[in-house]
Amino acid sequence: MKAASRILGTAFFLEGYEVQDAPRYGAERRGAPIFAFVRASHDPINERGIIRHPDLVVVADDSLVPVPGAGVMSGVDKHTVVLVNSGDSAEIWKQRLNFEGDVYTLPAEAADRAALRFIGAACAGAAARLLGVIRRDTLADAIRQELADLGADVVEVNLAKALAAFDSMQAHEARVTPIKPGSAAQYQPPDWIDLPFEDARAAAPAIHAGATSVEVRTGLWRTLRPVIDHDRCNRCWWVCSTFCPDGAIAVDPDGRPRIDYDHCKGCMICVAQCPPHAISALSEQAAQTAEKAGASE
Amino acid sequence: MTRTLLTGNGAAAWGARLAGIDYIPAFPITPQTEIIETIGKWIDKGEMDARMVTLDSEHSMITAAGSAAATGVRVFSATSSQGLLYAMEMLYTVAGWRAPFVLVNVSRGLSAPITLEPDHNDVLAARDSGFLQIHCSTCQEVLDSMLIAYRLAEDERVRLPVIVNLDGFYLSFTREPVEIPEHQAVPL
Repeated sequence: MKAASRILGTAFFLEGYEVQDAPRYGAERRGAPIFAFVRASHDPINERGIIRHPDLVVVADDSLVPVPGAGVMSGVDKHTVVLVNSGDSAEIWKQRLNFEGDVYTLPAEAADRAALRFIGAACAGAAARLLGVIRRDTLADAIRQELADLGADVVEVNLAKALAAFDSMQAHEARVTPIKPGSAAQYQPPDWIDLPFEDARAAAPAIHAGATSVEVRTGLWRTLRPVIDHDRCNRCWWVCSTFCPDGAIAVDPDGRPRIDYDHCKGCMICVAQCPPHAISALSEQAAQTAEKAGASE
Repeated sequence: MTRTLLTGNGAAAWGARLAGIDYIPAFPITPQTEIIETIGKWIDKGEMDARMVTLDSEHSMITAAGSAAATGVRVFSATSSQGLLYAMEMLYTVAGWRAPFVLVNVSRGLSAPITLEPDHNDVLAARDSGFLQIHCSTCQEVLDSMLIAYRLAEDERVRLPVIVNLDGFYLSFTREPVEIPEHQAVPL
């Protein structure tokens, strides 16, 4: 999504806008949720930081939508346009989110997991059409500028993805309507800011004995879950377990790999490395829902 | 003059490049690392004629910066947060040497627990170190302040190291339009 924000930022800039684009990282690890934002205006932009009331929200990974900590829908109102990279229809999302505003989806992108690495360009392309102020040629120029360092082949694939997404939103051109930004003069500073009294244990390390890191369930961080298809696994004994950066894959004596879901953080390196493609990536939310349904039967 | 989109970190790197720096003692720390990486890339491509050395800590980095500046070469370095605190002892020392160089601090909160978010407690701790401080509010100000900082540091009446401070995330990773002056327009 950093790529998407940069492509949009550059496209706005090429169209003569003042621009601010910025990514926001949390944990520095593969698979960690990130977001990025873009401001554009014909006037100088003095506001900074996270956008509190977005005109357009673009979601590249729909498994983040139900995660409260991700805050995907925070600050939206009925004027906000939401674009979700999802195979589910816009109507399903509107119901699911209980959301009055416009929702659009990118079903073609969602259907093709192998294309996930180009999702930034596709999102930027669709967003550009929804915004209605970025021309098709400008979008293409922005992609060429932003991705130039990655080589001509990468640029071409991203261009194709972005332009296809741009064209797919033809019926919804210029659906995004900017609202006037609030004035700093209207800001009322609070008289008093409550700082809650925090339990001392909130930050204190609780090390009661050695070799207890296994007690920390880092698997809770996962947004995608790798699942092994044991029929397809060729019992190579070593690839997934060796590439796993967290040592969360063990191999049974008969050669069957087992994933320790209490400690798998969902980086999907095993999915990328498995030679017979025997590991697939499922949305953690969907996997948990399916598990609960299975348990209640 | 070129007007282009730069992050605050990119603007700091451009400032160092335009200032014609000779020597960069470096140690990586988020959210500053992009500055050092950018300068490293330029040196590697031959676009900048300077020597970059990675040191074992920020304490050594500031010692190297102060020592090199005392020999008369133009020195640049950058750090953040805990890195600035680790260098704190030497900040006072090299300022006492009246060693003129420019240090960028990309403000980030201090431990514990670990945070990447911006606050000014790192640079406030260096308030009385003898370093002058310039605090920036836009990416353009970052680039401009870099050039002002060298003039200020090297002025015979001043001869003090200068910290150019920019906020993590709000400037460091935020791109906005920045005017980059032509190289010839910046007299060395």
